[in-house]
Amino acid sequence: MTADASDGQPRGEYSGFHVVDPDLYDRYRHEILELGNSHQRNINEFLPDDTRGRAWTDAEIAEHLGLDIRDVTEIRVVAEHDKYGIEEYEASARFKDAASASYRSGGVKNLYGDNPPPTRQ
Amino acid sequence: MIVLGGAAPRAGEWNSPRPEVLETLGTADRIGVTASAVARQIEDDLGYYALSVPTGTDQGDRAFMSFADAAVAAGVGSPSLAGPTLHPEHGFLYLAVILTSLPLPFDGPLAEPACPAPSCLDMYASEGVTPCTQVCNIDDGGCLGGEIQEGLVIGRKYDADRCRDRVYHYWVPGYQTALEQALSEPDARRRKMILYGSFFTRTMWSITYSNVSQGQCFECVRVCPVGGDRRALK
Repeated sequence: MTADASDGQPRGEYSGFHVVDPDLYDRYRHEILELGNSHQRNINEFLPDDTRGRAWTDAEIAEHLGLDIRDVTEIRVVAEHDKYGIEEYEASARFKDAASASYRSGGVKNLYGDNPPPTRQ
Repeated sequence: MIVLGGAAPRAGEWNSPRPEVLETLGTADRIGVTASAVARQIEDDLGYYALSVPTGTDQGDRAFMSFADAAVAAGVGSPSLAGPTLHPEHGFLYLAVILTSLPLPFDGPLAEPACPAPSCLDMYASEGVTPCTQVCNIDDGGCLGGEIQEGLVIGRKYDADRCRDRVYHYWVPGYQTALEQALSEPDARRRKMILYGSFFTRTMWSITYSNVSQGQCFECVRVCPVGGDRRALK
């Protein structure tokens, strides 16, 4: 099934509640993240076409993988939020503590020096 | 299309050693309200359609449109290695977009990009990193990476998911992650510690707007020299 918006462009979500199959999610989550916007490399528009690495749309990914676009959208949305666990939030808090304190005490030229923040120790 | 840029954090907020200050005060609400007022004035006083594009998320957890791309097209700023669109004088700004049938002259993109700044070129030449890629380096647990060749950013790398988790730390992603921990916890006493603990409590304050916060990580732009003189007062 392909979901189409009023302008005819395919999109992956109706206003509803579509739950993707967990086995399908496990099989494709990493590949879909690689093809989407999660790992951006060289997205700058001024780069030549053979260098620029824009993200694929959900419709393009669905066609490439032979999947339903609604499944691709749901796998992408879940995987984007599922990539990092609760530990990342603890590390993030310590990162912000260290970065803001370091900036306050001397700015970027003084950043970290010989005393890296806890997330880097 | 009209693009508004403004409502940046104040110098005192940038210089606070407590990240919780910017985590709590960083919000697009002020510029969004301004855009709504402009749109209303265009419709009521001038008689043209005007739509203030929602700042929230559309279906599929996507933005309604890229405000960053709109800002670049309208000359409000230019893309940056850190990610946010940067105005050459003001640096980081919150953005709002109004789509309108009102005929307007087209400003076009900036002639000179704001990023990389001259001091960043110097730092990159000597250290191989810029302030933003040093503070949040993708190869060292951060979000950003890239090279500079002939004054241009080449090979920019960006971990959007990690950045999103940091920017919305005590917001929807943090809430979902902590809720999953709680729902998966079989021990009722431990589950209570999660649900009543400081992370979940702060997240609830945030997502209920009781604390007013949206953007919750500013470390790459805190160290950015573009607009930096506005963050250095007496």
